[in-house]
Amino acid sequence: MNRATSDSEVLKVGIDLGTSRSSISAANGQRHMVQSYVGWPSDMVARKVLGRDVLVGAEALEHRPMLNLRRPLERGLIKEGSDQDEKAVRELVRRLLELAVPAGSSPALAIHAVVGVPAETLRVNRQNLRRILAGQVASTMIVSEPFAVAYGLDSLVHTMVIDIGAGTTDFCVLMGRFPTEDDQRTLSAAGDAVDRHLHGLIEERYTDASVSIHMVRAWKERHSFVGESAPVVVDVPVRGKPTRIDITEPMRRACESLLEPLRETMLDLIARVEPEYQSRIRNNVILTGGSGLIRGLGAELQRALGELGGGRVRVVKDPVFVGSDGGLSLARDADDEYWKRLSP
Amino acid sequence: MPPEDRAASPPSGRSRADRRLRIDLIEAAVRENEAELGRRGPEPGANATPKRQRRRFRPWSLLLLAPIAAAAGLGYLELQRSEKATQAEPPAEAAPPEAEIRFTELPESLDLSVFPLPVRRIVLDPGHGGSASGTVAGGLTEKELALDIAVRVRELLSDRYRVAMTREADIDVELDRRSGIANRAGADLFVSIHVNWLPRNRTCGVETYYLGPTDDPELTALAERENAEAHGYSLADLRSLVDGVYGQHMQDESRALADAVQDSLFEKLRAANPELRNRGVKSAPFVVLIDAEMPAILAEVSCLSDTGEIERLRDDKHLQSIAEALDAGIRSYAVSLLQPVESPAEGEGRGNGKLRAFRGREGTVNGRGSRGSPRREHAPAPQAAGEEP
Repeated sequence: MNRATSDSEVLKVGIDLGTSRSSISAANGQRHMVQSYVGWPSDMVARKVLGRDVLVGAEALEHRPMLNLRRPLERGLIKEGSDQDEKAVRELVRRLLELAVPAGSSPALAIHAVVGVPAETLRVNRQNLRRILAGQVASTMIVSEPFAVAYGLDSLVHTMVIDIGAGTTDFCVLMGRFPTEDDQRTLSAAGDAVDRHLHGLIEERYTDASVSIHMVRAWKERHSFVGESAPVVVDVPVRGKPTRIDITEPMRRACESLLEPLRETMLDLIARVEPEYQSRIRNNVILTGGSGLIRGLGAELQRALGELGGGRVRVVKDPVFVGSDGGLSLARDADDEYWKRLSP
Repeated sequence: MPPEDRAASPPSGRSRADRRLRIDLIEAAVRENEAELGRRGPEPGANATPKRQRRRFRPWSLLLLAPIAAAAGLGYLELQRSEKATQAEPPAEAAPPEAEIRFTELPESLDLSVFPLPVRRIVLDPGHGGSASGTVAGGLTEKELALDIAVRVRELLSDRYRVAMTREADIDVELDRRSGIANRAGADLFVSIHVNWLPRNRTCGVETYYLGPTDDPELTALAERENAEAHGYSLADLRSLVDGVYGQHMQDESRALADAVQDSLFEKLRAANPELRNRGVKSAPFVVLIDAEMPAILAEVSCLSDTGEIERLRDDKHLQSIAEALDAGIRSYAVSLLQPVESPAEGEGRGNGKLRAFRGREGTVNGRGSRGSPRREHAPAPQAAGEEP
């Protein structure tokens, strides 16, 4: 693979556009994560106070009462039929690129980007994404997110990647060939579904408690588990008064709601692999994504593999950049000829 | 190796086999992207997936199949030629040529002149197929069940109708081609057969759909699942198509067909399963129904989320019962078209003649255009959706 174009003219990046978080890994060593929120000041006063026309990431989340806040990527895709969400994705990508591209870079710098999307993304969604990226990068390659993860982890043969994000859970079986639809599956049972479930269970149990989905999400990220756990106690306002409530059981039930669909899909995909390779795949299951960090989840899935004769599930401990790193790895390995073929 | 080190590793640090694998994978990824950009890359290398190899268009197959098409008198070869003429190159993932679609012959004893049937040709569409398995549970796949049931329905209906299927084997047929097949074959009815998965309610139910919009998130999710093979449409596209293209009259007839089939399915299948739920007739934006120029429905005849039903589906008798229920529903609708209309409708819509035969977009019975006309002739491009009344 030649690299005819020098890095001073081209910057290769991997981008993981996630429902909850998006990340970028660039060949110049920059790696950044941004929460996938974009907000526009809701009125003149808010614009005056904030001093900006658009806020992205944690900043947007922090100032959400003053903003028309968008979380533009639903299930890892641009929400359908909304110009505002397209604009939000554009802003999100712009922010990621601003972070990765050093200030004062040549205006002629060409960015070659590999972008990971959920495995079963419709072609129309991919085209929308390509259109949004067109003004900001010179050339785009869109790949399925779990494929990018596997590529980055050097696990391209006899591997199953389970990537549990906020919007989707993506499965991909790598057999040393480019994965087809047969090898991939996308479920909506993912982090957001757990959040909604947990929110509902808490409201059901503590009817007077004021709980927002953002609070629920933060609790889940700190305390999520399947199986056994120490009590999970959090502070919430009840009729305005700070009160401690025990959410151990709701947390368990919400997190364990993921188990059955994950187990079923994992076993089904393994069962479809040619029999002589099934054992190798069972012993090479990689669990990644933010919700892959739910305590005990890897062990439960490993236990489920016992139904097929046992296996091993490895959990990626730092999943934030694993998708964008994989994208960067692909971007670096693709030589200039490929990028020319993909330029608009 | 930590991620930052991995990302920085030059490919030259890998073994030759690993580098070769990576080049093949990148080539495949680039080709997939090129296809989306409407460009056709060079011939795939050794890494081409089995599916793509299987679905590659083979021009010579047209020559082999032409006699069949000619014998069937359906004008398909014309169609293939006209389609070929409009395409610079055949699509990389072409489905099997449509000349493979064959109608059953009517029994010689049946004199059609005695039966003024407004329904003569029926296309059955076994859902999914090939790489698209549909719902899978208990070792059963939706694609196999749908095909099995469709074959049985064809057998049952063939005594009075000419019946064809969009697929007769475990092959890929793109969703948006299926109703096109029925259009070009001049079919009077289109029935897509599916097996459901009800994640929230595991009690089995039957439901029947016709094309239309829906605001129900559950139905949207179902349509999303069933449309998963339709690369190229978003749900927003479908909403536009449904709102802008689909004629109210055809929608009424599709609904009538759906009513008849649903009633029959529920009545007949409840005998085997008293807990069976009647989930009713609903509209939803299914890609497979979008382009149909005749009454078209999608029937979810069973569900693989119910463990009891999985066991029943292993039994030939149950599959036959489902087929018989579909057969009875389709016949019931066809017979209803023979009912005299008390006061003939004035405008477009119900028949102006003595039979309740439906009229299509062009005012011809069944709304068929001339056979062999390009598929999109009467269907506006997605961009134009919403402009047509």
